[in-house]
Amino acid sequence: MLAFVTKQAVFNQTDILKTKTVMKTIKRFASVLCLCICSLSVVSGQQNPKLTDAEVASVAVVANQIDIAYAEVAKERSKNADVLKFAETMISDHKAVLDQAGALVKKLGVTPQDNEVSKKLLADAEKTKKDLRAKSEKDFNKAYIDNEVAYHKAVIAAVEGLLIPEAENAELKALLQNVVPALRTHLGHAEMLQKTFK
Amino acid sequence: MRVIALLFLVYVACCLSACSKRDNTGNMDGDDYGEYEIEQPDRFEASDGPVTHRIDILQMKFVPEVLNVQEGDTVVWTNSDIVLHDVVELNKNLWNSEPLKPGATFKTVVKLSQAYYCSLHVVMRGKIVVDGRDIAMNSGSSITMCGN
Repeated sequence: MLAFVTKQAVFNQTDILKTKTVMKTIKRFASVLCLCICSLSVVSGQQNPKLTDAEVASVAVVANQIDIAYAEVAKERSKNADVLKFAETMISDHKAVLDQAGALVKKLGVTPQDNEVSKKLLADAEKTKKDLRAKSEKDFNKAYIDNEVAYHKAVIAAVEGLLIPEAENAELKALLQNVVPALRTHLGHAEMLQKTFK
Repeated sequence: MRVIALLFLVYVACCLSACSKRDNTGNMDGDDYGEYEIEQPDRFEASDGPVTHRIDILQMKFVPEVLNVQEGDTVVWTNSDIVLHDVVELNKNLWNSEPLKPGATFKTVVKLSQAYYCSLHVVMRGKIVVDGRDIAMNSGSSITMCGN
């Protein structure tokens, strides 16, 4: 067992050396991801914020709206066909999820309730949009796609680690679970694009 | 006399069974056919004419991801997901569907083994293998490397 661990460690060491640049990027995203998760915890004032279903629904709605807003900025600023197509997919998919969420809250008679988590997400998104708009045309595509990778990682972590465990209603929980494959596919798509902006 | 007749019937039945087995597989021991290889080992399993296969698009996946068919078979994709998808031949964009709304279908008759993907979600891929002639699924790029 020890030998295996050591072998793994040696392998990892070599791997890190070989892919220094990649690791730097991953570290940067990891820190962004940590910030996002921490901010979710900090704003709630505890490790596992207690959210009502109305609050869970609000966070889910806001998270989708934010990614649509980022995509709208990309449509204004980018001229790259692959980035524009990705942005169109983000708008189309997140709107489809919002439609599902809208139909469900209507059926359940729940009104999404603003809360510290959703407010913090919105505030952070405003700042990110401002930063993106300030990028030069040359730097915009990379900045947008980098943000999409980090944002989807953070949202997947929040949906799996916070929203699904907090959701009490079975249909709300199922909807959140159904959205995860789409978020993972978006992340994979963004990471694929990211490789073209090295 | 009855016993002899019965034994004869059993013998005939065994012969018939052996013959029909040979016809169906078309591939007895390698010795019988020298170095010839049977190119379509699954052929005997197919029905007489072309058949229709179904691929479900569900939870961001083509199900099944790899489909084995025979030349001339029809493949029908159904979007059972909550978001739009499409189906596009991967290497040369030889054929493609329109964007498929949830519930919509697309069908095509297949002649060659081909990999395909969803151009809206480029990491979603699948392939159709015709008559066992397998191909690589990642042999094409779905993203144009145009940088900034």
